[in-house]
Amino acid sequence: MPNIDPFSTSAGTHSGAGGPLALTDGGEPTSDEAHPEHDGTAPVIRATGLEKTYDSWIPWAPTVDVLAGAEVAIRPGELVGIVGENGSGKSTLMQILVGALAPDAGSVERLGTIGWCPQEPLLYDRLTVRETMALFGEGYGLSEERVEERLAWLADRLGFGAYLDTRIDRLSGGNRQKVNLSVALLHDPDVLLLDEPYTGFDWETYLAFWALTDELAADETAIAIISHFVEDRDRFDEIYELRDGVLRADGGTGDGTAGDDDVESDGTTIPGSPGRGTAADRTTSPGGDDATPREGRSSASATRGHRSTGEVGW
Amino acid sequence: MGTVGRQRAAVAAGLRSTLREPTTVVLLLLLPPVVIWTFDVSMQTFGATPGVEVGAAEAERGGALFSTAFLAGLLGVFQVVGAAEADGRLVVCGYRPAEVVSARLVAIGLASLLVAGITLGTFLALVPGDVPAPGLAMGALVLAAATYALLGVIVGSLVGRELEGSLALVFLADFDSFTSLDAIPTESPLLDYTPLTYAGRLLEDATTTGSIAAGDLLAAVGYVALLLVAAMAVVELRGEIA
Repeated sequence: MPNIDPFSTSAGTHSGAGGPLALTDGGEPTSDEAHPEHDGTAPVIRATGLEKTYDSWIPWAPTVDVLAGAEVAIRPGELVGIVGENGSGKSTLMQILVGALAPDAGSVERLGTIGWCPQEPLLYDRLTVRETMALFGEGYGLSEERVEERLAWLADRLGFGAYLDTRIDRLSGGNRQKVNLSVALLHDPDVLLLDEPYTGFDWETYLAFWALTDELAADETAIAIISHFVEDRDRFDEIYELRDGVLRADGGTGDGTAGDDDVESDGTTIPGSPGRGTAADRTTSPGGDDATPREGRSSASATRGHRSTGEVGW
Repeated sequence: MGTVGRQRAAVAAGLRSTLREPTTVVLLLLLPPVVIWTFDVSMQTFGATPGVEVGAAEAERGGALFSTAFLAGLLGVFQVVGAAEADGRLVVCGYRPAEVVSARLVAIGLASLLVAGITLGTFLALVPGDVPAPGLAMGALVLAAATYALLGVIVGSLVGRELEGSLALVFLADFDSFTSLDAIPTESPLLDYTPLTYAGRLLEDATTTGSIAAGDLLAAVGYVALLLVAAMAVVELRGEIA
């Protein structure tokens, strides 16, 4: 298991998380011996007591309380979903987890490299895809050869190989999102924090995305995904709902009704939607480049995956 | 690899972002002559007002200052506002905040140099008679560009919006370039501290006597240094690249 220098962000500090301090030149991780506390089962990212209020120096701007003691811990190989109503603070939480935003109170401990896919693609419009990867690759401390190697692999998996020399502002929304996600995956991080990463994906890419996350989780990558889609919920090991500024473990039962069929945002159902095993179940790759998702799921994770019918907009 | 590699990559990205858009390049090339010409025309009308003295050379000098200042200021605003969030992601991905900010400033500085050069070329072509010290005139315009580019960074960081920041910068540059001509008989001490005061004096000396006052040069450089510190502080306080 790759392991890295621990980072931490506390209230009043503002620290990035995916940087070269965590990697040797060439992108190779440092050894585990330096961090005996990272034993493979301990959380690779842990947030405690996070509080955040948006305030402004402009007197008429509203003050918004977002987080009020949120806590979360993610272990290697765990796939965690974070759900909540619009405006509940999911993206704020993720920005704090990754170190892009400082909390007012609380702390975040990170024991690995972070890959962050923000909700809106935060990219430079006038750079090409290849230039974008080279730019972020420098930040990750990757060699040019390693960047090219990873870019080729990601482009193949997510299907944007035809656009490597196209400017970001000339890509479609879906392809831009693929690049946005690929920046997060470029350095093969220990922790992936993805904020609605599949917005704009076509169905093929959507399936390829889940196949990829399954592989990464099986390879001990800790993954947290903000998701709105009800049908995604049975793919997670654990789901937290962010409500009133606090994360609550969500059994997925909602109003108590649950079924085996997925529910579309328009209320229609998708019978037998592909599910996902627990972290313990994911000992093998779902099939390499085959984008076909695995069928079925373990009973343990199925209990987490129940959905309340009619609940949309998660 | 390391700091040098990151710095080089960030500067290259900043320059590509600035100069890769054909519309931007065309505007950078076309606006200086248009601005100097329109400033000249408006000053001819204004110069007919009793008590106001603005000659052709002064009008073109004012146009050159305005052209340089507002274009550099807009570059500063747009660089900071347009790239703030992506710059923040770079920091999350391993860049040091100082590397990102300095790369942004280097890119703005190089673009400002381009603006100053184009403006000087236009000015030399339009001004009646020879300019005794074109090199010094270029230096004066570079200082004017640097001053307003940094003001653009500060305004952009504070306002956080391109339209509002641009309006503030254009208004300030218009007022500033006009007052730097000393066309209005006023004793207001505030006019000694407007951003273009010293760069304007340097440009006037370079284009009339061919020599500049050391005190004015020090003051202009000091002004830029002060704004540089202020810009770094504001960007840091805003927390978008920190």
